[in-house]
Amino acid sequence: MTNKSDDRTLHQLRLMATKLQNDPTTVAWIISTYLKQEHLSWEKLSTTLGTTEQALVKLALCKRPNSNSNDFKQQVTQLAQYANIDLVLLTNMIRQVESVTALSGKVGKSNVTGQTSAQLGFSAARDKNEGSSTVEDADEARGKGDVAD
Amino acid sequence: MNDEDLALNEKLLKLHARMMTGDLVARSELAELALPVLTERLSKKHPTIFDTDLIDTAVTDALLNYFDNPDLYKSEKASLNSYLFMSANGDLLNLLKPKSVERNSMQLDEDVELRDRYAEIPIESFVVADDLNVEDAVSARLSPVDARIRELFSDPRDQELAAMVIDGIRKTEEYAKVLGIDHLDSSEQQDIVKRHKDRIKKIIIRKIDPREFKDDK
Repeated sequence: MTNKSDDRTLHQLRLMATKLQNDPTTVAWIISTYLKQEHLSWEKLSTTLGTTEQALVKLALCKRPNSNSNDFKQQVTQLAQYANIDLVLLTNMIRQVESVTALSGKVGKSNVTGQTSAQLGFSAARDKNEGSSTVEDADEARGKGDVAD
Repeated sequence: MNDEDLALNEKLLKLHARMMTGDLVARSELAELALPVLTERLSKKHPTIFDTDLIDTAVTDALLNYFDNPDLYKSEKASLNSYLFMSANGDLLNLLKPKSVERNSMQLDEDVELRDRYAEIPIESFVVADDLNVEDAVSARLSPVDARIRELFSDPRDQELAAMVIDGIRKTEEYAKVLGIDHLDSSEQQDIVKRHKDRIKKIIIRKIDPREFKDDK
């Protein structure tokens, strides 16, 4: 493929991601909701996640993992590997979106401890720097300021 | 089919199989693999189309429709590449249809049908009087309906289907073209078309208050 066709494919993938952003069965919905919650752009998010925009767009086209499934960890791991994104950051993004969305009708955009969704995201990054690298770590980290459980 | 096509189809089929087992990333991989191929084939088939957006819309819509209903693809009937290509080609032809002319030249009394809960019943149209400015009349009378359709249906394809339902179009083939399933056998087409028509009609019936267009009379 030439660069030109690469660019066009990326444009088409972006188009698909945009069309899927209202479909809650997709990662596009997760990303779109997260972007709204955090007031981020795709570009900024890809930087935050330490990946490329292309990888993020490809991730958006994937099916959303089922957080109620016993396979949730494996599912997120597969997504993280596919998009070359840090597992902890990805897990936290998914958890945050699900938690904030679930609570948005009850306690607004901050949780019972007063921690905002943005802070939850930052805590994920902090935990990553502190060396946590598994979904369990991410879940534990999330528990420190959890909104869902 | 040459070796390259065979290899591509083999890859696509594997991804299709993974999709069917619930693999989360398979559809993304499939899109990345299929998009450039579909784009190239469609561009070659329609060399006079210079608006790349049309091609992009057609190929992406074809893939999204396939993602919505992967089980509609039957490997014994066509290769996945051909199936997606036919779907994209159908979408493109539909996008190229002179919709405004076609729709606006239809029955000007179609808004009456919107007020009718039984939209399936065809309504005979009147011929527009010679001295009537058709464009103005159509714009004045149908714009609110079209605008309402756009409000109700975010998906352009659904908008098209809704317009057809409102237009009283009954032929399955017409809907099949819009849905990109005209390559399927007629009984399958009928089933799918019926499902879509029922869905569209339910939304129209549920969301449109027949009184809201009375002023247009």
